Amino acid sequence: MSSKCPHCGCTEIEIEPARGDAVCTSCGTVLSDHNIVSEVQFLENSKGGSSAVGQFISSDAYSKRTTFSRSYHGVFSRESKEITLSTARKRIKDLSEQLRLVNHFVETSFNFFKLALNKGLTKGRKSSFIIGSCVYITCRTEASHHMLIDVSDALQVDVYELGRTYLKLSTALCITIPAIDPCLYILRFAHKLSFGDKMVHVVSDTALRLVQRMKRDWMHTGRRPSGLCGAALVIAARFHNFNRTISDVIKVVKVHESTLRKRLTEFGETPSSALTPEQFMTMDLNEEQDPPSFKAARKKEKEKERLKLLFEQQENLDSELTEIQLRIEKHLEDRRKKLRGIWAKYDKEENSYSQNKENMATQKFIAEATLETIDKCLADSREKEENVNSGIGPSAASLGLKSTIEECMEIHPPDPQTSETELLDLTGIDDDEIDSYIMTDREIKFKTELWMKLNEEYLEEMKRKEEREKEEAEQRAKEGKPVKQKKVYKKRQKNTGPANTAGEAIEKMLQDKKLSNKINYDVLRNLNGENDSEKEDKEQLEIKSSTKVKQHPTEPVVKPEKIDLILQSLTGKRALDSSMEGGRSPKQRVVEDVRTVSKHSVDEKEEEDDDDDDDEEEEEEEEDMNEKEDRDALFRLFRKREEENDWDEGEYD
Amino acid sequence: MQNFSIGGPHGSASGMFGSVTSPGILGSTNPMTPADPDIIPKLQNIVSTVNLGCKLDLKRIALHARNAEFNPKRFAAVIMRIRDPRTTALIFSSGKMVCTGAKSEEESRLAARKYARIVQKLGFPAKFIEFKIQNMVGSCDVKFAIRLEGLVLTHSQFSSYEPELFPGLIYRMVKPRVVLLIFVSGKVVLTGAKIKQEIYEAFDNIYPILKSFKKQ
Repeated sequence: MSSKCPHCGCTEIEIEPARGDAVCTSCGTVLSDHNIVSEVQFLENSKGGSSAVGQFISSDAYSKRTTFSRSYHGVFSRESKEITLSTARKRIKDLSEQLRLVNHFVETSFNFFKLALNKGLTKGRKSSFIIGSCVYITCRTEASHHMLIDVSDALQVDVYELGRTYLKLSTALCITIPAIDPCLYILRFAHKLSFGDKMVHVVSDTALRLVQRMKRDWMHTGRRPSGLCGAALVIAARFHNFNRTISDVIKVVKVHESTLRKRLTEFGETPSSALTPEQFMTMDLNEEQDPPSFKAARKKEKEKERLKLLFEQQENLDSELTEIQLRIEKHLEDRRKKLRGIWAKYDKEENSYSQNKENMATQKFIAEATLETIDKCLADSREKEENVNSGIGPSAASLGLKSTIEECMEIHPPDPQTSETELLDLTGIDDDEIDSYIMTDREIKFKTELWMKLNEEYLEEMKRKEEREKEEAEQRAKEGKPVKQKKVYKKRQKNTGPANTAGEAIEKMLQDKKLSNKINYDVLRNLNGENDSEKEDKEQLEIKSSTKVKQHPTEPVVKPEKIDLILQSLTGKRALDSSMEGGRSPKQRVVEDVRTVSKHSVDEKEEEDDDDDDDEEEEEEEEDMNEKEDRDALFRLFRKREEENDWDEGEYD
Repeated sequence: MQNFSIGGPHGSASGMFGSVTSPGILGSTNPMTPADPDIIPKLQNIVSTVNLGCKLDLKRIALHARNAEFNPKRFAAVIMRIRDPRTTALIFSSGKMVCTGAKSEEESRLAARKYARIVQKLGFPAKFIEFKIQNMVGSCDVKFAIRLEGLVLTHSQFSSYEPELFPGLIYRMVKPRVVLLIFVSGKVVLTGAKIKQEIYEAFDNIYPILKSFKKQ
């Protein structure tokens, strides 16, 4: 926490930990007061007792105003995180009031929210979803009778989106949420159905029993609990002579009529439905039923099997038919023969079997003939080749021909490189099929007309966009600016594989996480003081000095030997450090350091790659020490401020 | 009743097979139940990508091909379909293409080549660079009812079961990295695999667990 004195420019600043002051020794300007101290001071009361001086600060607060800024609605500038937290708390409270939740729920939900905030899960999501998810997680873990749809109704958001956010949040925070029990909802729904104070409990008992029966009959797995409750309540109401119709119940239970009817029919298929109300209340059937979807699947399978059997039977019939057909034909033939005895020799046998034989013979003949001709051609070409030396013209052509034919005749070994070539392999692609997918000219004309009509607006927009871009380009050319390049976002290459040296590990980590520019990276690299890292440092320095313009004018980084020196250079607490960026108030730097430190700790928690453990430990050590010192500074700050304003917070009796 | 626990995503020591042996009440403690050799997951869908290697004029493709639709306001790609193998492709102006709907790896490759051939015939110098299968979906039926509540209790680090949102249990297996949707009727959907072997492996891993949560 050192800097140059703004008045005299000297750097000899004395820091008084007890008073929480930083005073310039040459001109006497007080540079900072209200520094946070770690000493405990006691004051005497008017009654003679002594009380400790100080305030309680919550660990996630950055300034002391957190504790009473809730009622403040401050005009003062507050830290952004504070604002987020207070807004969230307010909204959680509002939502809990709408849902009639106890204060305890509000606190738990707020804790979940803080967890989510720290892990960065609130970014990019609508705050209503986050708040709703936090509240619903609390409801589920405390097994309250609130459904997801109640929360979404209160927030006026889509229930499925809320569910999605809720799932993501619960998996990211690693919270195991117990499964829903439909019995929790019965009493709540029963109250809403106006059964009268006395009968409510009787009816709900019956409904509970029904739900338990449904559970045993495997009707509840995979189904919304509210549907089951609705069905149970309809039946229970009828048991006790209340005429609650399905439409009455669905208004309370928030499911669709068809769902309720389906549950009722499913229950109707179980053997328990055959019991009378009295029997049902007293006895319990031991057998468990299969879940309805399982039963449906078995039914389908049976149907399939039956169809298959039928099909096979059909095939058998067909084959039988053909057999019979053949026999009949044969019989007819014989008869014919006997009838036309004289001219029998002229009658050629037109038996299908012999016809086939003929066809086969002809095909064979054709194949052999073609092969013969091919061989002949080859022989001819070979003969021609022998006359190469005498003839000039045809020889070259025949050579070329021959070589290609010979190549074709060769059996190519499977080319291992075909998978790597870029050329489109056309094997197995029927060209005619492809042509069938391409339109004729006439079709193209019609489609173009239609498409242009349909997409008129889009085409106009495109035209306007192009004109605008042209104009802009012309303007830029006039003004002499360079052509506007499209922003190309290159993906950051994620580091894979372990690092070989500690220095490499630090490099990788730095590449992975674009950490703040308030850290002196060179010192980080020099942590181990290894020879390998030295060369890298030099290269990095050169690169850095050429690319980064913002870097402060440095002396070459001194390779520190002790960890103390490293810490000092990192936090800038060295009193006589001229290379550090001056002119910033120590308080600012403290805050920035604290932020970078907390960012570090958050990042490290999130990091999944296993960097070198040694380096992490070293850095953590440093950061722990940083945190301590920063905390000291903060305490001193608060102490001072509090002394000024005479707050009596933290007094002990 | 506060019975929620906050644990790491990869859980405590009990891995996949270890947890089968722990709860006595909830299922049989026989870890050596072999997978049923008759049940083999059937592949239902394969998604693959390929780079045609040249910039394409989507308007031209859409207007010259019978089986193409192009609605630039809604989506910036041409949607093309072929009948055999029955697949759909999304063709982008950068030349990259996504092919979905095939039932086997070979079919997917053949279909992608057919699309590339169509684009070639329409006058673009299409190539076939870096064909890669991105996702495979398979399904099968174990033929017995499964107790999902028990499964979510034992394998809470891997499973997520929210009957209010989805009737099936979502099981995220770590090795191989496959997501399984397990339903009470005994049907299982496996997705997220890059090769067929991963689907088979995942099913072999889950079968003994499902058997232990069979409805008795």
